[in-house]
Amino acid sequence: MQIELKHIYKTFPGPTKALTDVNLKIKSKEKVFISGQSGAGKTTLFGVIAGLLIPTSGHVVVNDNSLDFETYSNLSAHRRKVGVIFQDFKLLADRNVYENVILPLFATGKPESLEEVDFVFESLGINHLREKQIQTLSGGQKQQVAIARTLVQKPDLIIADEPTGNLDQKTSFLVMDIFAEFNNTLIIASHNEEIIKRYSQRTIYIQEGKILND
Amino acid sequence: MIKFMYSEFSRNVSAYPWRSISFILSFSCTYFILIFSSFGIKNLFHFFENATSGYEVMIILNPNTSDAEMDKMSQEILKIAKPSLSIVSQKPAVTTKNLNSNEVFKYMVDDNKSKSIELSEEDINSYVPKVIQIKFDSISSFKKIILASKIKNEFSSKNKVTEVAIPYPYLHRIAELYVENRFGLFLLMSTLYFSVFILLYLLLTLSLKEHKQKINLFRILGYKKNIIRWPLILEGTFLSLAGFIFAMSAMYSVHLQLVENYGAEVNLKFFSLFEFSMHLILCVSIVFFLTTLLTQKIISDDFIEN
Repeated sequence: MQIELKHIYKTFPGPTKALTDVNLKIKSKEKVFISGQSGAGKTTLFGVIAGLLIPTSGHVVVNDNSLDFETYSNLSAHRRKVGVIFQDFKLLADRNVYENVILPLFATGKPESLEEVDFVFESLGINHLREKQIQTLSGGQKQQVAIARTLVQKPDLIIADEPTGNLDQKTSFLVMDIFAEFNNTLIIASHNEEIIKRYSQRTIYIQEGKILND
Repeated sequence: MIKFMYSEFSRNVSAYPWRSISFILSFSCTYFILIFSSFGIKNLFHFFENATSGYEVMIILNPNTSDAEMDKMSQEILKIAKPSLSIVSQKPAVTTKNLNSNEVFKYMVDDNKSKSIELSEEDINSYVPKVIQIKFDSISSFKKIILASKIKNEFSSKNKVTEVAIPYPYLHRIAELYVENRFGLFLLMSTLYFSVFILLYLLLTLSLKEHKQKINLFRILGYKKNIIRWPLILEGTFLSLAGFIFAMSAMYSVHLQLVENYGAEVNLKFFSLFEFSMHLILCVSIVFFLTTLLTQKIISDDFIEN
């Protein structure tokens, strides 16, 4: 999936300008790291790219087509192609790990094949967690479940907000290896210099809602 | 899709049983207000209909009242409320035409014995009171009672009138109150029904806020609108239905208690199958409509918290 942001502004109620005149082009299958301090606007940028936040002005162009933020069906179709891994994981406490992971497969009402699910569980080494309730998991395990949920979705673009923030070094590299094998566009926010050095093809620095360095 | 929506719906209801029970009870209390007021009004009308079925006023006059005087009085009565009433008969209470030639008129002599006498035309004219019988035409039971009361007030003190007999004289005050304050009662009921609507709106808002985290995740994952919405509508409708059944059961036990204690004095009616269905449709469709509206709003909201 190719993404292009043209003159994106995003303001929230109050004086805060989360994004100011952001122009950015991410080619298909490109692996991009986004770095910046907390509050720099990374999460807002991800929200706009994923079609979760409507920009105050500007255009988001996906595969040469301008994203229509007004129509729910267009937005939901875009969201189905984008897998987002959040810092707070966004897992549902009223169901177990397996039920959380297969959630994206029901987005259209016609559940897709569950064969891929086993493969994802094995790749991430979380087969033993299948039947566990979300409340019983550690932060790192929750992060792995959130990653599994995104991989099951088979998205054209993965946006990951600090995907290794709660993981030990070994698991971090395991997850990043899986992402590296991911044959589509990838945007990752990370503070981990070692991971950026090892996996980055392109790093964008963002500060106070503006792109400082690309 | 149906299987998924059903599993979401049953999860919503069963995963948090206490939440479901508290919502059922809240729906039940809200509906009870509506059902109780409907029950009260239905039985007020029912009571007045019963009380005024075959309702008639009798003006009893002295036996020596002439036909001309009776005619004059009848005309005066008709002036009060024509065409709402009609003079059904204007005659002596007993005439020779009601009696066979050898028939006798019985009257009590003492506690246990009755004595019979034969009445001649002259006797009847001299001793049998005259009666003007008034019936009401196609007006509400409340108006019948008010008119009867008006006739009683105007004619009781007239010359040659012995008595103006009206059934249920004590009801006229209630009837007057109803007729004078019909608009107020309508306003009161409208306010009550509106309050029920607002209470349901608040209840459903509260219920949907509980699901907001899940709704937001489904939106993030690109779920279609109907797949997000239908399990919630089903849940709301199911809890509302359960609340309605509780409220109706509570109303039925109130009805049974009232019948047990006051059954001899008032003939209380419970809801017919038709009225029951109408209440059911009203209560459940309000929830259906509000849930659809609220889910539409939540689904269209911006992800400001993200």
